[in-house]
Amino acid sequence: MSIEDRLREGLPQELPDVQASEDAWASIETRLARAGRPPRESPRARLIAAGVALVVAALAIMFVVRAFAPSDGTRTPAAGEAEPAVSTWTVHTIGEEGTGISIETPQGWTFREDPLQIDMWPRILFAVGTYPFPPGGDCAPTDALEALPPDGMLLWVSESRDVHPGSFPPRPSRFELDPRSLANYECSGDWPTYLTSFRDGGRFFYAQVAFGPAASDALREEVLRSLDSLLVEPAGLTPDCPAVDAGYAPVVTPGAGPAGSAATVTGVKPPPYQEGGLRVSNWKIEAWWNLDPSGWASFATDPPPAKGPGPVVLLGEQSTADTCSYAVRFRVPDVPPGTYSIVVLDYGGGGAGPFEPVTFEVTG
Amino acid sequence: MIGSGATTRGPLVQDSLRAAFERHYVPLVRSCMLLTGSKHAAEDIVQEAFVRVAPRLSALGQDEVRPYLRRSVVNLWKNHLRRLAVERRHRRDVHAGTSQEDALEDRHVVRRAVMRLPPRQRACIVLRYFEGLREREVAQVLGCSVGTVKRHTSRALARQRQELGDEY
Repeated sequence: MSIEDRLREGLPQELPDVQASEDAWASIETRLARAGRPPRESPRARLIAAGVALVVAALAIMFVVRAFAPSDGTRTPAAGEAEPAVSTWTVHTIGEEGTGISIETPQGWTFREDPLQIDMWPRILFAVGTYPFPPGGDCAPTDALEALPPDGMLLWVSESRDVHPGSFPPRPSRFELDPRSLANYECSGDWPTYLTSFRDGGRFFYAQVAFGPAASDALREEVLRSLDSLLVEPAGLTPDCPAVDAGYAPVVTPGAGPAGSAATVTGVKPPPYQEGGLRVSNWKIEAWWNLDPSGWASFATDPPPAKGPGPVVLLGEQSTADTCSYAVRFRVPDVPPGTYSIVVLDYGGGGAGPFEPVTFEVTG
Repeated sequence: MIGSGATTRGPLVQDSLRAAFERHYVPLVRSCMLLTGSKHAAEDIVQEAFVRVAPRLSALGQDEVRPYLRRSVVNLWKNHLRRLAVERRHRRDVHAGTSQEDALEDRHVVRRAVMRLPPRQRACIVLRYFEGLREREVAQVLGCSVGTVKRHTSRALARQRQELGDEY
């Protein structure tokens, strides 16, 4: 008997009986009934919620101040004045499980999947604009660009395939609008656009952004924040990085030394996980000195909470978009001798979470 | 009756879901048990897969329900693996196999050998030789290329030959 036949015959025989019981059906009914409720908050979600709460609180204060300020009721921002930040963002998700991608945008922006409605590669996955825009164009959303208002913005993200991986840099920790990339590109030639190419999760992308001539700095910040929210479901099947039975606690080498000496914190990245219906991967780590990781929501505060006496110091950060490990070299802060905590935060899925803290002994 | 929170689902969808449950629940749980090594985890994953398929059921053809459920199960299983990894991150005393092989008896030699495979190889073996899918179908379920399926299957079979003896 071949090994294949042994598997075909042996596996069914070695499984215990399973029934499609009424209990199982009742469990599905209960889950369906709960499906309409918001999911429980994860630590990451709480972190995001804390950030949103801060923005909402700031907006509420602004609203109150404005409400009691002298006004003719038709206030518009003065020239050069930044528009207030939006308080709520919307998540847009496209693709099937396994090929998905999502992005968050301020409410009121227009999101359009497959804006060209043409089967071509690189494929324009979606376009986002601050205004209602039509689909259409030959190899860029030119119909939408033609409708670009002076204070508006249009962003579109394309996916490429069959490319040399080295020609696409890893996704940056934070997206930027590099002025050197502002040019009239093929397809969208009449409109100058910022262009960023990057790889994420084994996939290859271009992001192009066009602004109207009167677009505000606040709008540019919002576009970058939106791009930073991009979640990419990795190509291929399974974890880009293998699960590690020993866990993901970082290691500091050496584990002791005087203030000012050099040390390195290293570790491995866990496999991708499910979040928001997508399989996502952590894309950045930060190494912190003396950070208290118990106050999840308080990471958003400034200064962040301290685990013990002394300052909280960001030792360094590293993109892990295309790696399964990290190494952050740092100088021991100028602190008195003692034992200090080092925490590595991993960023992914729109939030951050801590790995198991490690300690460093500062010697005299 | 579906619970009160699901009042927007009509009786036709409810009937279709029940029919899908009757038809697919048992084989999916059995297959998932080979992935998770645990009946409890397998039932949990498959029940969640039914919840996910419910809103799309009316748009799926009869032949599309099982593949959709199967793919959901595989994705939820990966999520399950992720949760185990997170648990291990915080509880280093938890042995990797504790929750996966809780119900295996000594006589389950083939199943035990499959459970010892790395997840990707295990998924290929289960889908190919337990579910009876073709390589292309396995690739679709797992979201990878046929070449990747071939590679993982080949490595898994080589390992199974070692585990189960030289007679193969």
